[in-house]
Amino acid sequence: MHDDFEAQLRAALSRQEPSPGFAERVIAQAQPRRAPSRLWALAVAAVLVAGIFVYRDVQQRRAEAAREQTLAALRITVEKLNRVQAKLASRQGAAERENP
Amino acid sequence: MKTALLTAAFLCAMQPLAAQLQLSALEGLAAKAKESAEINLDAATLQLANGFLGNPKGKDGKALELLSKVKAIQVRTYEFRSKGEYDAAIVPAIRRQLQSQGWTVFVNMNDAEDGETFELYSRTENGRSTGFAMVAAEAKELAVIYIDGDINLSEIAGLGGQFGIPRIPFLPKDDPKKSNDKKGKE
Repeated sequence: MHDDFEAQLRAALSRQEPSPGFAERVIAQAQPRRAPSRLWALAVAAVLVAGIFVYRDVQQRRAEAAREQTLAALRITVEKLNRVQAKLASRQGAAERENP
Repeated sequence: MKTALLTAAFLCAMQPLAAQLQLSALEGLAAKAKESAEINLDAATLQLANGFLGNPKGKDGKALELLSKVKAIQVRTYEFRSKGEYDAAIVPAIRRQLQSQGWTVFVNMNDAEDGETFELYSRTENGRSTGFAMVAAEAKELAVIYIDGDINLSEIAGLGGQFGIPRIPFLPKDDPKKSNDKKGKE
């Protein structure tokens, strides 16, 4: 029984020759993979272009918000001036009626 | 020398603050108001907006050139549901602040019965208008407008009819800039 186990173990651990081309395949796998430089350049360019578009979009939104606020401020100013003008006119009219 | 430089730098840093109106007394009014608008525009924002308002070489050119001289705009308007929702002491406080900064009132309408106050202010330096301010207080409405820059009331009125701003048939006779212009021509 004991001898039988030893024989099995020996057989399992016995030296076995690798399949043909094993060493070449290992060496090929171990080689550092070099990414094509053109791919890198394209990736960098794509990121730059995307960044420019995002920046321009943010700037555009900011400018549009500033434009809307400026117009709102001017519109309110002019409306209030119109109100003052109307008050002035009504006062002047009342004064003229009192002292024709 | 170093102290003088530091003082100059400090004064330069304080300059934008000095040009603004302190409107902390109006804080919290927007929450009480039925409708409100609170707008703060500094020179950089106005410059950014100017590039998107129209074509400088087109029909908007003159208005854009005018707006390019504006350094800051502060607008506060509040419309309330009922009377007495804002502190009446706000108006004299803003008036004091404007007067202490060298602003002069050229339209002053007060109606104690209706509780209405309309005041238009201007500021001039060396004969040039350097700003326009307005305080309009009614029973249910309050508005404070402050425009800092080389612009006068006639020029603001001239913006009416452009960029969707309503036209204004308003040129008060006692606008100091207008009278200065007249004096200059005579």
